[in-house]
Amino acid sequence: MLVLSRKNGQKIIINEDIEILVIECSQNIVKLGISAPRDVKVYREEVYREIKYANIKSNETTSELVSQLENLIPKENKTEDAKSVQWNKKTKIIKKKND
Amino acid sequence: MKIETVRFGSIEVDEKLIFEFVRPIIGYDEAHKFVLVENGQNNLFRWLQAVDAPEIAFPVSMPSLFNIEYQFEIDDEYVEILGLNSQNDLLTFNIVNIPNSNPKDSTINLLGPIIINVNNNKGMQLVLSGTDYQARQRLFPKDVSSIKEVGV
Repeated sequence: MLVLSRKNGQKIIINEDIEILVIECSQNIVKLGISAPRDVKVYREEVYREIKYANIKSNETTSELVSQLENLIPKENKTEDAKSVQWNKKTKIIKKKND
Repeated sequence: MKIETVRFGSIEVDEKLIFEFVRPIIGYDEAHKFVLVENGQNNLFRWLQAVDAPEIAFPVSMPSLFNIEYQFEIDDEYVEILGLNSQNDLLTFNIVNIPNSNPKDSTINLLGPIIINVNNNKGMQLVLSGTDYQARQRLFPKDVSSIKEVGV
């Protein structure tokens, strides 16, 4: 790991097209300004990890589990046509092929 | 076109309804194309299935279908990336997580909504900032007795 010391108003440049500016540093908070090309993704670490974890857990889900969850939901929630309208908004939904 | 999936076998999808993700589902950078698959008895859930990776699929739903109040803003940067011209072109939904041990503890990811421009089928997983929404928001209150059980 590279360790750098910077003062308020100073920058770090990464790869010539990413700039990180120390806007303000006081007490326990560093305020950074990040300028980067569009395809560079910048996330707060803890948020990134939380979402990644939730995504990975979700991808482990089976169809059977969705059925189990559906069975927990009161029937009146299931049958409203208005709910399918929200999904169908302009996109048609692809139905599972029965074969 | 026909696509292979682990959960639904081989399914036929309309090429015009394939979403092109301009930013990935976090942790799944290899999947860029997705379709919504209907598989179940009701309108509360769909599956967001990767077109080019049979094993990648996420159950998805909408907070409003569970009476969860939910709103967020999309930064101009992403409005531009998606080419969004009108709110009418926006389709949003959220990834659901159903724990193997107990579906009553199911959660919905309100921190990383999926947003789609249905006009050009460009989509992404947005990461919200400056919000109290959680990546694992319970669908049901913790008090189990308040859940109405319904038979199959």
